[in-house]
Amino acid sequence: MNRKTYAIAAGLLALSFLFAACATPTATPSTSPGAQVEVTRVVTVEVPVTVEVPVEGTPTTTEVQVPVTFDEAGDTLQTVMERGRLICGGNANVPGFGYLDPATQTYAGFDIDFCKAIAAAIFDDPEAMEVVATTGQSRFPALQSGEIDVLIRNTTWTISRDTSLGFDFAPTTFYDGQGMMVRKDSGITDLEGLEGGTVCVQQGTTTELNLADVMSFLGVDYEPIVLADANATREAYDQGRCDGFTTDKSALVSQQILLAEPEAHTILDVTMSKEPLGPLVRHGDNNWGDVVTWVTFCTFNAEELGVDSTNVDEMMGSDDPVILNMLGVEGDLGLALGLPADFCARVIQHVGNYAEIYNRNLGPDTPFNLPRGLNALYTNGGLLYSPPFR
Amino acid sequence: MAPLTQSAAPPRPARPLLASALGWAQENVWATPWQALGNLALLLFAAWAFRGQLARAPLLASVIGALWLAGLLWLAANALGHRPDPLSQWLKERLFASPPSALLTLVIVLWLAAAARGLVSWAIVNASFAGKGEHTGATWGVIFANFKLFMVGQYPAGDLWRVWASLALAAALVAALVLVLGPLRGRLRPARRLLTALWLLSPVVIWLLLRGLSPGSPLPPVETRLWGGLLLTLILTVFAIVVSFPLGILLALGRRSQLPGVPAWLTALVVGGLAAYGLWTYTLPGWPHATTVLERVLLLWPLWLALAGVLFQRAYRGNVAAAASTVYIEFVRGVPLITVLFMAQIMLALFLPANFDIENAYRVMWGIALFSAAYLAENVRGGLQSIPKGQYEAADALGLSTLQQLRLVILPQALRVVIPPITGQFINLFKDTSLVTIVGLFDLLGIANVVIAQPDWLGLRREAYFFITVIYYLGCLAMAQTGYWLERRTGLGVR
Amino acid sequence: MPMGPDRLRSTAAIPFWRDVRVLGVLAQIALAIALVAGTAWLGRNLLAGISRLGSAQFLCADGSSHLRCLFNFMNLPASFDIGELPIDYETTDNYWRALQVGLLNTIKVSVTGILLATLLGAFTGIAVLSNNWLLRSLAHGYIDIIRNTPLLVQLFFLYYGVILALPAVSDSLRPGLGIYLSQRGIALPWPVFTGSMLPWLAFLLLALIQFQVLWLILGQREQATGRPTNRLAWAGLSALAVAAAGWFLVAGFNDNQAVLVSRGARVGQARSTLEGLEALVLDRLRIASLSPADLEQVGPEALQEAALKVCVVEGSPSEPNLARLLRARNIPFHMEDFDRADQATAAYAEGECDVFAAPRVVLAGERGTLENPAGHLLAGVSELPVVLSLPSLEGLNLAGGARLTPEFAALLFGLVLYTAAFIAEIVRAGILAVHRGQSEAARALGLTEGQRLQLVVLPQALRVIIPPLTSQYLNLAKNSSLAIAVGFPDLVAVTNTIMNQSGRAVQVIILVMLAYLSLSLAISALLNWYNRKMALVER
Repeated sequence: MNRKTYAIAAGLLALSFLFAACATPTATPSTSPGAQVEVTRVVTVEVPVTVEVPVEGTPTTTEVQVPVTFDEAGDTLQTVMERGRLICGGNANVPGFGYLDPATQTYAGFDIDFCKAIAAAIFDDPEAMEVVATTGQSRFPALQSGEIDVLIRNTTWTISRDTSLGFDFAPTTFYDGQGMMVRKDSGITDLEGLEGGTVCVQQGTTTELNLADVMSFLGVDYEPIVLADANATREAYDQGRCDGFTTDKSALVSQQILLAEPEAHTILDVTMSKEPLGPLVRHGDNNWGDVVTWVTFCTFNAEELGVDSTNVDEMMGSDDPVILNMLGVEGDLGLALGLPADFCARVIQHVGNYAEIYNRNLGPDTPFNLPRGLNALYTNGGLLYSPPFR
Repeated sequence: MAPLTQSAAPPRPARPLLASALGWAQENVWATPWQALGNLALLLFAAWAFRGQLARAPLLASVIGALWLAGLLWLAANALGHRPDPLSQWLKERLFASPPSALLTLVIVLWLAAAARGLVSWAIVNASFAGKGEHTGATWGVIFANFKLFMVGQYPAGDLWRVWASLALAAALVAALVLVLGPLRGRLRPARRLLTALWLLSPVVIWLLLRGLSPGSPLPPVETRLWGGLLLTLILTVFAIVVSFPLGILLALGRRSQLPGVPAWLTALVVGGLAAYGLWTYTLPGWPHATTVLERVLLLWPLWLALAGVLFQRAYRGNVAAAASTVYIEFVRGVPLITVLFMAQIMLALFLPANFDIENAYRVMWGIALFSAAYLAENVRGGLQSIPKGQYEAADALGLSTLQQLRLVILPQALRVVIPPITGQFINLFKDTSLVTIVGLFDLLGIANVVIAQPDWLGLRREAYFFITVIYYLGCLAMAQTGYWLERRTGLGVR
Repeated sequence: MPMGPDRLRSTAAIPFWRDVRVLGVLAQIALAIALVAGTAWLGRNLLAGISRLGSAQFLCADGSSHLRCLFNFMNLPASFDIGELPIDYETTDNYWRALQVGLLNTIKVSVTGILLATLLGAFTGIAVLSNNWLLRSLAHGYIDIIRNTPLLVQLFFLYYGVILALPAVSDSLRPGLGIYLSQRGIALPWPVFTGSMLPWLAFLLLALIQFQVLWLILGQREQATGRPTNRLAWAGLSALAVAAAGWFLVAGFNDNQAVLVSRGARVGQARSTLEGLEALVLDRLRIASLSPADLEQVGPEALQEAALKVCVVEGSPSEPNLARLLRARNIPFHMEDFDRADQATAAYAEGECDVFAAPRVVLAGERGTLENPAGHLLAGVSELPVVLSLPSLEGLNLAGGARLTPEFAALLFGLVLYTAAFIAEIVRAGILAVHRGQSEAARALGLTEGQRLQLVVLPQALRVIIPPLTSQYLNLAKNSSLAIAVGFPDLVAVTNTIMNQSGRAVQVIILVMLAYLSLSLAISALLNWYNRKMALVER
């Protein structure tokens, strides 16, 4: 009796879904009924911020805790401050961007540095942060569920991620494009050369979608080999399973050094898509999004104004009011974010400006030696442009 | 009168060699056409295999062929001469029992020799115990250089003393158990209670040791994402075993429970009321807006609820415990472990209130434990079913309460009967912990993948997998032996 | 729990707070309340969690947001490609279609795996009981090692360590029987059914009837006379004879296949089409015959140039059919695949190939679209009902035969090897469960070995084997979810991609669980039915 009832119930459910698959929806727009689903929570939050106020009668200043309230804010910043450290979602096996050295057990990379920048802005300590290595498939649920505060992991800014997945993007920190790597002796010079061939791609990425779109547009018949993580994908390509290996060009460069014979491979001179990479936070907390955004802009602006980690202390005494505003010596721009006024100075002191971050991880002294290209300031022909700190 | 001499045995009729050989062949080689065909095919196959091996390794193949022929001839000679010889007995029993068996022996030995040659040349002759180099064989250096990673993952080197302490504690407890149950049985009897308490406390103590306390204390915390390698595998296994065992017993008891059920009128009232309420407030207003069949099906959830209530009443007669246990067990047994792990990793945070954070490792541990509890429940249920009704009746006659019955009469017998399948289930659990690689934890298999992704040790899969296979094999062997010891100790099949 | 009948109780009423029945019901109600409250709390958290993710989670067609539209997102276009397609699939199809592809892949690997694992497991189980000590030890060792190693390790090892370590396609291993082993997969010869299969099926049916008739008649004669009549051999031979006769008749007298060739090639003037094609190639090569000695004199480039270029539609049986005929006459040829017949005709019209091979009706239609229909000849070629498609190296790839991708092969072999070890133990236990006395009695009755196995041992052994076999089959179906580790697009892998790209984790996981539950129920229902059929009819 038990088995039969289960069979009946399961059969009914299966049937109903089968019907659903076969039926075509007849869209008749109409007004929505009751039983809507609540979407956002609007919370008013009070955040204690340390402010230096001059003591009356003396030239010194003292630190005072000032509660700052702002509406339409979630409580991420408060949660982070109470926790005492920032939890970043990052990569663990893309050298140059997010890499965990198993021997020393430390994280390093371009994206990790931006994590450190946010931690420095909040806590004045770049190490007050914890990197949670996320896989391509767990990164979005981790951010959605609150397990991590911010995701800085080579993630492309797309409309669907911005809207239907429920995320907000900070300014792009790395303008990239999707590329294709092939073996030099295969004789393939463009994407059409992959006709009838196989391409290794990682699961759950924009790479997978772009590959399908570009290849179907060009009319190239190919077979995708989709594997779960970056290491497995690269290894399958290295062993010869695929004719081509596709991912963002910067990731191709960083994975190339991990191949058995790096010089035997070449990256084709085609850009298959736009891949603007940057940090992202979840919907529902505008203030936290602003925090991440303006920490990022701080690094751009610092490079533009010539402030870096070596001269930031001197610059605090400069006469340029623009610099003083940015560093928080004058004005209290940071307070509106819930951060101390000198949050930008903290970032530059501990982590550096954009150029330093870039050169440290991807510059001429590293095995990657990626040219700045679009990742230069707008004054140098690139796309990095920070709004003014005013 | 002829003296009584020892030559009293009558002379044996001399059978011609050919005749006896033909007679033997008549019975064993071509008794039926099918047998003849089969033997011929096998002969051709053996000849083809021999020719193949002769081409690849002439010396080895000819030695094996010669030995085989020698064995055959020895056997034949002894058979003809009617001399019982221990060697030919052994040969006939094991290797040359029948013509097909003899040919199979040749083929198997040839192939085993070829495989062994390949394995030895890869693993020992051409191997190197240092880093990658010019050699063509295995690079065992990957094991030695990364031994710490394999064993404890990314556990901080400075805190390794805790791992050693936990190991020492476990070893001491096992030794105490062996002593109390074995040699010092009589003298240490009062210590049994103490030992039981220590055993029950030990998981908590070990967990505290490994996990650490708050940052300021003498035991600084070690994040679970740093746990890895064999340490993580063992922790996952032990946690799953410890949690799923009582849970499984509960589920099995629940499934077989004979408690009186909720009366039908009550179910009808509650379910009917809910269904009516749902229909009124939810389905009817939303019906005009539902366009596809799927939307309509989802919108009709009150009807599904009513159907569930009807099925519940008919199938289980209102027995909530039995229904809930059965649904849980069948549901969990019907899905693969990997979906349970994905659910634990991705969905668990949505099921809990916001800001309630559980580390990934704990989620996975609970996922595996809840998964294993369902399988264990089925095994225990088999044991409970094997207990004759008379035991229950006798326990009732003695006036034991339900709890006492379970503790003193039912469970000891039931659990003893199912020790073999439960051991098998725990071995499967130990192997299934390797799946956590896919959800991002670095257990033994995961750490092996990390090790061979390092630039210095790139691509040395075979060596790494060989090593962890040996560890898994030894672990499973140990668990199987424990199971056998437990069987012997409880007298399974004997009393 | 007290089990006495209520009638024997004392007439004094038990207060309801001590009445075990009432307490039991109250306990059930309390449990029900606890369960419902717990589920409600979890459900509420879930809904709150999902709604925090944004309104897009429940987006309806009309723009509103409602719980009934939970699965509406599955109608969006998938936009990703899938590597193995048992059915047609484009990137513009919706997520439901992608889900179906994943489900069919899972079913494909599960069913194939179950069949092969049963065979291997039965064979190993019997081998463990053989009288050859080496075979016993080998089988036992295999079972031991496989059962004590995790399946995932075995899959990784098979995929990366064995299959991807095979040589490249141009250096494929050829272990014989036409099999090609390479890094790009395993190519097997595979039978292809042509158009003349249907007439031959009629002959097969006739052969089957013949077999059954002879079997029954001879069986009755055995019963009457009490002597064996070798009815298996007689019935089998006669059925074989009918099938063979049908084969030759159909092959000799059919007119399905033809080649389109220009009259200028003078193929029609030869005695048969194939002789005409042979003459064409000989003409180009300017040698006497196509014997290997003469072909050696010609260089490989000249051979390549002079080879017969054949246009075929991809997947049509004309390809292996013509390939077989050309190979038989040692004619060098080169096959060019096209997706559709009109593409092939266009290529033929431009002179890219010498002949266009297709069914006669197709060619007749295509000839009409050519500029000068009369200038082309429809030359018939013979056709067999079943043609073996042999894989061969064409340029850098393999053409023909059935191809197992490395992912499918690794998953299949891994699952089969793993599950067969468990099935072997079950089979062994089943065979050992049959009492020795049964075999002795069978021998005493004079039954042959075959009869003993078939009539006495097997039925009793099967009763013990089938219940645990069910759970092993279910395990295989569930273990196929590990396909994600080797890149095979099964249900879990495809739904993972859907989860990532659409961001709706909860709905997708619900669908996956429902799919696996249905699959498990189907398999266990099937085997429960078989089990009941074989159940011991007790007195």
